[in-house]
Amino acid sequence: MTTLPPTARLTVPPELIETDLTSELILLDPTTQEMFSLNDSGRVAWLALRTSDLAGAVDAVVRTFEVTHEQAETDVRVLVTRLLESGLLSRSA
Amino acid sequence: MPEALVFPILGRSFRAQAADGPLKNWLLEHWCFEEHDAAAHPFRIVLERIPPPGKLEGEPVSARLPDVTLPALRVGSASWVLGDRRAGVRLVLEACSAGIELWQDPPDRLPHAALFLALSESLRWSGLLPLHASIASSRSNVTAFLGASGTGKSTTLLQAVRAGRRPLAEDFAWLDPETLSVYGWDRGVHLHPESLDGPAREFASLGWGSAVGGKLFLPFDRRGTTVRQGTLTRLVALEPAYDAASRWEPLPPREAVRALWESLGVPLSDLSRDAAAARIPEILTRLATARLLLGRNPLPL
Repeated sequence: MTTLPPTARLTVPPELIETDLTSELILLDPTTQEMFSLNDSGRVAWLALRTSDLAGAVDAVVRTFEVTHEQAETDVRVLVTRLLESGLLSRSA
Repeated sequence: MPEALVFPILGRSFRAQAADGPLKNWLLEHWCFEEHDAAAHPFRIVLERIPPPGKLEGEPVSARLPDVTLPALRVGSASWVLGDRRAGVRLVLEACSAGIELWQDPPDRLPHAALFLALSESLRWSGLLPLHASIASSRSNVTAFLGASGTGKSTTLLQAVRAGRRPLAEDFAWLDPETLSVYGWDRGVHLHPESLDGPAREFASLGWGSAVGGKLFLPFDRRGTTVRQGTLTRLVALEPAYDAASRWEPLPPREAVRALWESLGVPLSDLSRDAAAARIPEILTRLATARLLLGRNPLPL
């Protein structure tokens, strides 16, 4: 799981195709064909990461769902780790 | 000086200056569909012939059609050169118009693929989406069958027609994402000859003719009443499964996104690419989706 600091900001590759079906958000990298499907909480975290840092994404999940801050942080870090590994996110310089 | 060739392309005005001979014939065959009834649109496309340019400059980019990749140069954010110094086009997109300059030397060296791509990009820019699909229409459904080349789109269309549907497109259509109107862009079915020894063998006696590229061709009007446009209601992703039974399956949303995105092709323009990506959710939420496994038994159409 990622050890990024809470203030870490992440960047979405410009070629990524993002399809928000409301109940599910789907990410497709047309270059690599890598694909990722985000559930409700993953979608909330993803949308928050577009405009805020890691801590902001955790806060968004806590506000939206009845989960503890600790659980939300674990879930967001697991998600970010998988997205970084898949190349669907990268760390901002 | 030959006269200008003027006709609408899906409601957009199109004018080709000095279009004669092979250029005129090609434009009429591939881009003039008088049977399409599309609302008037302010977008204009103008095609002009120019002498071959001395030098071509720009950033090399990939320009792809399903069967061919072209040499291409990007010149700024909304201009491209497709082809080479002997035969090619320069495409310039503006807010409500597209300008295409065509050169060819010798005169019979018409850059078909470059011209097709330039006209396609112009229509994309005007808000339409190309859809690489075979499409069949029934009283209650207009179904687009999606799949990569060789998946079985044409054979599935033939089977759908045999099951009582009407053919709308065999390989290519234009989709208006606002209205979900689809406009067929084919005049018949093309098949590789070997298909008639394999998955399409039951259609071998239909009177196929020859077409460009070694394929066989069957005009739509020999297969019953053709429809040329309709309102799309369903997307079906085709999947070969020759050792299994043919059957319908649910199509997970992520697979629907992939199938639709791949069927839309690759635009030249980043703006057109982003516009197409933004359209996918609204298209998918308005259409039924399914997967059709193409197995060893007849399709459950």
